[in-house]
Amino acid sequence: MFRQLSLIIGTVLVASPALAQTTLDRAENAYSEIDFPRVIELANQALQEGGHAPEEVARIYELIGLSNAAEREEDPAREAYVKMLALRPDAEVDTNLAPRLRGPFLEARGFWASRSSGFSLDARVVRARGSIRVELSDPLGMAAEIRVLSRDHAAMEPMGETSVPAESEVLVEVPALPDAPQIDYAVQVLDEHGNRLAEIGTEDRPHVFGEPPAVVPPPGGDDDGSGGIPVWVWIVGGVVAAGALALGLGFGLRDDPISLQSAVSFE
Amino acid sequence: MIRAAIALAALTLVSCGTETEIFELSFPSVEAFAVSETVRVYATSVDEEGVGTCRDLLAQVEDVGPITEASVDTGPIPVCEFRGGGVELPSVGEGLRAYVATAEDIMGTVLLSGCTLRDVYTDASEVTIVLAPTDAYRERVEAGVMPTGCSVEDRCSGSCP
Repeated sequence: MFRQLSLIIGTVLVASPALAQTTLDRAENAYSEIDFPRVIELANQALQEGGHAPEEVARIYELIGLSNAAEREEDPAREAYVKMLALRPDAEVDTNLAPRLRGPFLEARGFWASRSSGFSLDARVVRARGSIRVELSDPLGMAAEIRVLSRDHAAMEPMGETSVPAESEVLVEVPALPDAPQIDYAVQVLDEHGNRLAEIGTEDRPHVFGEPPAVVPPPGGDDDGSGGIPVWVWIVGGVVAAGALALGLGFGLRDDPISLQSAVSFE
Repeated sequence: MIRAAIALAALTLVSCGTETEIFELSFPSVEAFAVSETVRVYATSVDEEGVGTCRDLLAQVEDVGPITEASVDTGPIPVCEFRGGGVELPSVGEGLRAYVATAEDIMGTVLLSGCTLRDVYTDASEVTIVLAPTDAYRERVEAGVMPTGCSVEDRCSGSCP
């Protein structure tokens, strides 16, 4: 019995690291073993499995780029580097690499240098429309879907999800927005395999929009029930407020106009 | 009675006042500010979603000319006047507006442009127009004719080279 138990525990202990290893981990291992054909195979497999975070997707493209360059497949190497630089524009080439490996990377960098816009994601809450406006710049057409996660900030519940096809500018409705003073939200851009190419906020660390609701102070402990304010103040205040309201109605219930004063800042 | 009348009049005045909010021009760098001679700001109403509006308006100011149909057009104003509330845009009505700004050189060439969509009556955040370099600006950088080491104060006191 004890022998069987220790055999099971031993098997689990040995098997766990293998089970925990993702396809991307296996691609990294193959890369450290300088098995470039295997890296290309595993990295592409990882890409198709989907579900990776933006930094992982960039690393996958980097592995594909490096390995293809090592295999003298310059076109796929350059294409992979172009995609990597879309996601990680500040990436640098390892200066220890042989020039043959650096060439496609430098060509990919040149590709982006000649373009005025890169891959970018911006999102803004438009409360008046109960929506989040998402602006996406995707010169390579890598994005397939825009996903918006949201919930009432005060609600302890999983975030609701709305997905729309990727477009350069899209207004995504947020069901909780019209009623909630504050909402949690996250925006994700997904590729055709469901990998996240870019994201603003996450489900664990969402962006928060709006102001917390004003806290109403509890009534005072006075026995007269008016919070310590004399009754005549309430009466006079009420009369004055009613007068102001009547005048307001006379002026057509208009809002105060808002003018805008300039300021300058630097990025 | 007289006091009540005064209070009422005061409330009336307050209810007829004008709120002021900030519109911020965000320059990509001090150099970009220094090379700009004037800034022109437009506000124009847009349809309900405003999709594509900014792209079209920026294409117009960069490639065609001023936005003639804008409800607000400041005309070219020296860039330094925009610091610290020096320029006030007249109030606009309720609803979504596109706010467009262009920074131009002395010849009227658009060097920087930016656009944002806001309804100042409902949106919580201030109006920030992020100015981005145009092709003309990039050509100027490549030609090496940008003022360097010039602070905002130098630029606005006229001591830039």
